[in-house]
Amino acid sequence: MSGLELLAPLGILGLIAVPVVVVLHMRHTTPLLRPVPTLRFWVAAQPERTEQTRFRRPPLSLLLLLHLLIALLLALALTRPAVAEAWANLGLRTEPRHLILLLDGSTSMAARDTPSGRPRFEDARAVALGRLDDLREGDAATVVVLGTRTQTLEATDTGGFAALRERVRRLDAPGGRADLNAALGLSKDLLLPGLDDRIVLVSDGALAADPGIVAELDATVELERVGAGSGPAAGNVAITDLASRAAPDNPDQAMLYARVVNFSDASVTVPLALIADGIETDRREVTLAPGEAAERGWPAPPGTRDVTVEVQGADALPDDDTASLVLRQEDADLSLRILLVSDVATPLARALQALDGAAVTVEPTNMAELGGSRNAYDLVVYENAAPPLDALPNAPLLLVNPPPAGMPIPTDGTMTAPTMSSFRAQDPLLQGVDLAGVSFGQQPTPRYVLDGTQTALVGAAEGGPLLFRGVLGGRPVVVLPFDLAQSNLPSRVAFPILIANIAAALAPSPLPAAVPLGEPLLYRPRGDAATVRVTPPEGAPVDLPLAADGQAATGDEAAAVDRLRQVAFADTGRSGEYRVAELDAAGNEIAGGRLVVNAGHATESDLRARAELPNVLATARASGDDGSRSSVADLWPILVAVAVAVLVLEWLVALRPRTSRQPFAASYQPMGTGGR
Amino acid sequence: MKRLSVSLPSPRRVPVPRVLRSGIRGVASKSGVSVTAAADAPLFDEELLARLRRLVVLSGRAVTEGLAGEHRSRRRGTSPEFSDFKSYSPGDDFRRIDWNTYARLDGLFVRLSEVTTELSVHLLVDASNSMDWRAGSGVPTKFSYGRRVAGALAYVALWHFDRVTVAPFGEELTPAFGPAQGRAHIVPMLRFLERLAPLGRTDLPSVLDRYVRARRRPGVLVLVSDLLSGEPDDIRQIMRTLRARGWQTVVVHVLDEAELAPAALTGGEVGGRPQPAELVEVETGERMRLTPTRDVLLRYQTAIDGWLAEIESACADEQVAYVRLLTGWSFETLVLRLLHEQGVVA
Repeated sequence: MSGLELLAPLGILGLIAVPVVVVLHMRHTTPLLRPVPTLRFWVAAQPERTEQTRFRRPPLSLLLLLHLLIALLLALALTRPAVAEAWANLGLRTEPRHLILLLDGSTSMAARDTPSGRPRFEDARAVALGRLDDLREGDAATVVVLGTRTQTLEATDTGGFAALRERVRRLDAPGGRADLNAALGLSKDLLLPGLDDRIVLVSDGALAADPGIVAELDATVELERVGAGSGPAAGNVAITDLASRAAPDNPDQAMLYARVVNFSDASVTVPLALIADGIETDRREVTLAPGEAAERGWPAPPGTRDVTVEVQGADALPDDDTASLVLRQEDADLSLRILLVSDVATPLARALQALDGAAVTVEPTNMAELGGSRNAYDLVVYENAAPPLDALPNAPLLLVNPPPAGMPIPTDGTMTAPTMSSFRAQDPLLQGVDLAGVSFGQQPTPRYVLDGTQTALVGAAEGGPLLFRGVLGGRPVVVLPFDLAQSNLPSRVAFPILIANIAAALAPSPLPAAVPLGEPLLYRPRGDAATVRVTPPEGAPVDLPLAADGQAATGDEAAAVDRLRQVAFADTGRSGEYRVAELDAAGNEIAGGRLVVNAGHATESDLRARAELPNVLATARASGDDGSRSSVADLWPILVAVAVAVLVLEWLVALRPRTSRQPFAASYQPMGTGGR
Repeated sequence: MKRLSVSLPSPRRVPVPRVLRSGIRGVASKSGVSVTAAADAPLFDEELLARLRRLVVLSGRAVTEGLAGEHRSRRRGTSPEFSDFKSYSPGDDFRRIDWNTYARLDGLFVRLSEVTTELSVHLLVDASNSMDWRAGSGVPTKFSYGRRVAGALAYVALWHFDRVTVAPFGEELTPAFGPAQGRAHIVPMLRFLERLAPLGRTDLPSVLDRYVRARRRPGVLVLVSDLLSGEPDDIRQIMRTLRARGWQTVVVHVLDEAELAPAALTGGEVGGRPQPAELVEVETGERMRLTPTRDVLLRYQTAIDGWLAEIESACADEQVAYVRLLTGWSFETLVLRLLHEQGVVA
């Protein structure tokens, strides 16, 4: 709607009052009845003949004009004129409103392409505060802050509005990625029947909305866009990915790979620098066409702990011009410590060493007595050896071809050249594992008889399990009862995946070197940790308590406890270095490490507004013709107020003191003439 | 024109009738007479009565008659009051021959004594509905005011032993008070006036004509009226008739001030606009709707001024004393002074 709209067009019938007023003025006023001693002199005064008729010519008096004005105003008020949003700040709204403010706090809102040079989020905050200022008693407000973690603030009364404004005023942008669809879905649940629900998205528009979700909204959805939106000011060059992998030709050589993307409408040439432990080791020019992404690689300098790749050059969002990576933890406390008890360098050892963040220690089987270091590992693997049942290490166990005599699990003979007959496909240990064509050797394989505490994951046609898990001495255990050397499994792609799955299921997670922006940090600390403390780059430490150490008797219970011991830290929307520490029950730090969250993101670094977003939001159910009513402000109260003011003026005019005439007696001289 | 003016200071203190004192003080008397012009104003107080007692109705050209009055007469009679001598003529009462003079002058002379006569005062009081009207509550009606004037004049006449007739009239003459003579009739006269009620419409010329035709001897005729009945020419005609018949006529024209200030008769103005009014004539019930614009009021003023001028002219032409009284005027000062100036009383 662009201008004035009549919400009740039939109210125009109120204009009938205008001719009625004229007719009333044409009628002679009901005269005052005045007895007089005689009419002879009044007859002689010859009153106008129109006095004796019912009607007269409309008198052009001020009273008539005022009455006509009052009638016009009231008739216009009956039509309920409403003005468009541009005038809605007049504050004439009479219907209670439920304002749902979706405040974009994603990383892109940190761009400084606003006219004032402030971050987009500051402008968005100002817009949000302006919207909240319009609220009055009877309204309700919900502020949903979009970012890595969605924050919801509510207020339903005047005091609450003030508190809400204060909280918004103090709000920090959570950063990360804004899930607009989730926010719209939440808004749908927040709609209040009976109120004028209005959803206002305050954003830079660099978001995507699902038309299906928007179409389900029974409320008006508005977009308050901040920032440049498009053009050169919204251009940005970002490092969206930085990773470290082993060199294809030399597994001992780590290679760094960076992905640089040009999110602008013009070609750019920017210098790209590699900084290792604070020292720039390489610099090169990168020319990128509009929208082009380029990957650059460097060999990581040996012994480097941290590397940073930096795009040098001013753009709207400096945060994503750099990306860092922690190549080596300072104390390696949070690496995955694995003890492999084996006498041979088998493919198993290589698979374990390939695990991300794993530190593998190999011990011969004759040194299986762990002694004081029984608690120093996150996973203990016995290959071709039986674990000491009387001195089990305090860690999950992976048993590969253990001697049946050393196992507390009974056997029922052996299986010769077993073949796979059953496969527990949904089990996490077998996710992505393709065992087709795998042979398990010609050697006899013990046929273990499982009880309720063990679960067969891969069964043999001969009746025994080829892979099962259970609990041994209170420790989770996974058993591969066949000899890897006799099987072709180690040569299959499925093998490292299977080992990685087993390690992931049994051992604590290694602390990742970097977490993508907004992605949660999923982390399973070691068993003796009671609390995980995460310290963001700029913020207070966050303590994440853990469930009690599981001494579960059954496999399912152990799995449940295992899930409880995994911590998730979702507030990774702020780029920079995070420190993670594990604390024991007494609060002492038992391990620690660092990780990096980089601001560059394929979505958030693109600062350009989505052209289709306003059109998508306009498809909300109440944003059409039927819903336009809620986006306007009624003018009838002000029209009625003006009419009352004119009425008061009319009273003043009608009842103003008359101009006093000189009394007759003051000028009359007694007459006493007469002849005699 | 012979003017007999005899001022008669009261030779003895005659007490004010109790009924009058009661009326003056606003206390109900045993007789129930309470003659007041307005609710709070006494009709006559002691001071006014004293002033009235010093006045006398002037006869003018009216013929005096009888012997009971206090008006001096050219006639000579047998009263103890010596006036003159005259030579004896046959037929004279020789009992009035002054023998002392005869002894000294050797001629017959008869003693002449002065004769006092009384005056016939006719008070015609207009009792029409137009008289029973007032514009505001602060003034008496013209009827009350006229009765007060008539009462005062009748009081003066009765006090001086004139023959008084009080004749109220509407369209017809109604039973009158009198003729009465003597101070004993003062209270009955006042009671009569008190009990007068408006009589509806009036026809002044015919009533006056019938009244004078019914009287053999002319006297002083005091007409108390607002003169709204009849045209000035009619009044002129009847005044001419009265003059021809030897009546000494006095017209006491009673008006309300509002009749001369017409804006007060209507609804005035609201918001600068004159309010329409529907005027109802109290005698006929006839109605007229008008808006008292400035022009209308001006024309009204012109009409009433012309009417008053014609009446004054008619009275002057027919040698009729004309006294215009407004009901808002003080009776004790202005009215008596005007009556005195116009030769009605002395």
